Amino acid sequence: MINKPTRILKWIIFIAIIFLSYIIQSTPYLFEVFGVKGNLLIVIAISIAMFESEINCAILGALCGLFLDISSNVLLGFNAIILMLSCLIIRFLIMYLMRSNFLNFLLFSSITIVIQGCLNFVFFYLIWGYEDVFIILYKTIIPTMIYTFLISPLFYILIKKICGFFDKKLNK
Amino acid sequence: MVLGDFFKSVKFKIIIGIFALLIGVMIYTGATQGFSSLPSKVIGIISAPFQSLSSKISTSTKNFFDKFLNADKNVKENEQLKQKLSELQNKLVEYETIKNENQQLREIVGLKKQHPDFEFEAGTVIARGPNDPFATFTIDVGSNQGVKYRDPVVTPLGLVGVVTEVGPTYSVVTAILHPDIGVGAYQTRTNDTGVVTGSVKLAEQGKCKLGLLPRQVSIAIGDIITTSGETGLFPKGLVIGTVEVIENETSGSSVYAVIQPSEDIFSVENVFVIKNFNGKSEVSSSEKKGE
Repeated sequence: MINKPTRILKWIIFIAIIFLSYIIQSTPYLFEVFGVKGNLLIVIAISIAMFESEINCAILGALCGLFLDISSNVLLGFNAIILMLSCLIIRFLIMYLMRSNFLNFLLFSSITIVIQGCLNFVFFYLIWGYEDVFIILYKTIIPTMIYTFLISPLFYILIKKICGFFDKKLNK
Repeated sequence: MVLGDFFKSVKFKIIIGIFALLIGVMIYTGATQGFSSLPSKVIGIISAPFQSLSSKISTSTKNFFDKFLNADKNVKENEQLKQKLSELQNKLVEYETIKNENQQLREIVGLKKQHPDFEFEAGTVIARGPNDPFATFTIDVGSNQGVKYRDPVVTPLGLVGVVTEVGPTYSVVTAILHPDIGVGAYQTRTNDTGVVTGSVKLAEQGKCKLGLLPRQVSIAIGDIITTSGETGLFPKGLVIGTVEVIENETSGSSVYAVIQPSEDIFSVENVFVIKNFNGKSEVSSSEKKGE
C-alpha cells in the first residue's frame, strides 16, 4: 500500500492520544474541577469521526469506548458500542448530509455527550432503584456533560491538525 | 459511494464484526463478575505503571498547591479537628475496649498485633473512576499478589471497601459508600446490629448508613461502628466509622444511623487488602454484589 508507514504512524498517534487521555481521565485529581472530570475519550472519538473514514472512526470509536469503560469501571463494551455507533452515524451524516465544520462538530458532540450521559445514568444508576438517584444526574452527570462539552473544541483542533497533516502527506 | 453500496461492502461486514465482538465482550464481562475480562487485563497491565506514575505526579502537585490554596481553610479545619480530637479522646477514655481497638487500627502493626490471623497486602490507589459518585478506585495489587474477589480493603483507620474486580496487577475496590455494598456491623457499647450500606445522598458527602435498626435502638451519636464478622466476608471488629445522626427510614418502620467513615474514602491513597483472616468464607465469583 502507498504511504503505508505514514498510515501506521497516524494510527500510532491516534492510539497514543487515546491511551494518554485514558491515563489522564483515570488519574485522581488531574484536571478535576469541583470534583468533576471531563470525558476526554468521547470528545476524541467524535473529533476523529469528523475527519476519518467510516471504518477508521468505527474502530477508533470502539477503542475510545473500551478505554472509557475500563476507566469508569462499568460493563465492558457498553460505551464502546455507544461510541462506535455514534461515530458511524456522525461519519455518514458528514458524508451524505452535512459539512465537516466546527459548528457541526459542536452539534454532534453535544448530542453524543447528552446521549452517552443519559444512557450511563439510566443503565448504571436509575434502573437499580437507588434512593435519591437524581442527585447523581444533577451533581455528577450534568456537570460532567458541561465540562466535556466545554473542552471539546481543544480536541477538535488537535485532531483536525493531526488529520490535516497526515492528509497532506498521504495526498502528496 | 451510495449508502446502499456501503451495506454490501466489506467495510460494513468488518463493522458488523466489531459490533458483534463488542456485544460478546459485554455478555462475557457481565457473566464473569469479579474477574477482569481479557481486554481489561491487557489494558490494565499496560496502563498500571503509567497510572501509578501519573497518580504520584498528580497527588504531589495537588498537595503542593493545596498548601497555598487552602491555607485559611486548613487553619480553620485544624482548629475544628483539635476540638474534635479532644472530644473524641474524652469519649475514647470511657470506652476502653474501643480505644484499644481503634488505637491498634491506627497503625498496621497494631492491627497485626490484634489480629495475628490477618494476612495483608499493601496497595496504592492508582486510578479513580472519573465522576464516580461512590468513590470506586483501582489499586496497584492484584491476583499476582494473592488478592481475591471480595477481599476487604482497609486503612489503619478502618474499613474502606471491598475488592470487586481482580486483574493480575490491579484490583478495583468498591467503597463502603456504594449502595450495592452491605457490611454486617454492630455497635460495641450497645450490641445493636445492622447493615452498613451506601446511599446516593450520603455518598455525596462521603458518608454511609447503618440501616435496618429497630425504632427503639439505643445507638447514640458518636458511637463507633465496627464489623460484626458474622458473614465471614469481613473480619470481626474492623472500625467502619462513627454515628453522626440517627434518622427515620422513609418507610417509617425502622431507623438508620448516618455513619461518618473513619477514613476519607474520596481521598484515600494507601490501603491494605486483607487477603486472609480466621473465619473467612470463600466467595464464588458469581455471587452478586451486596449479597
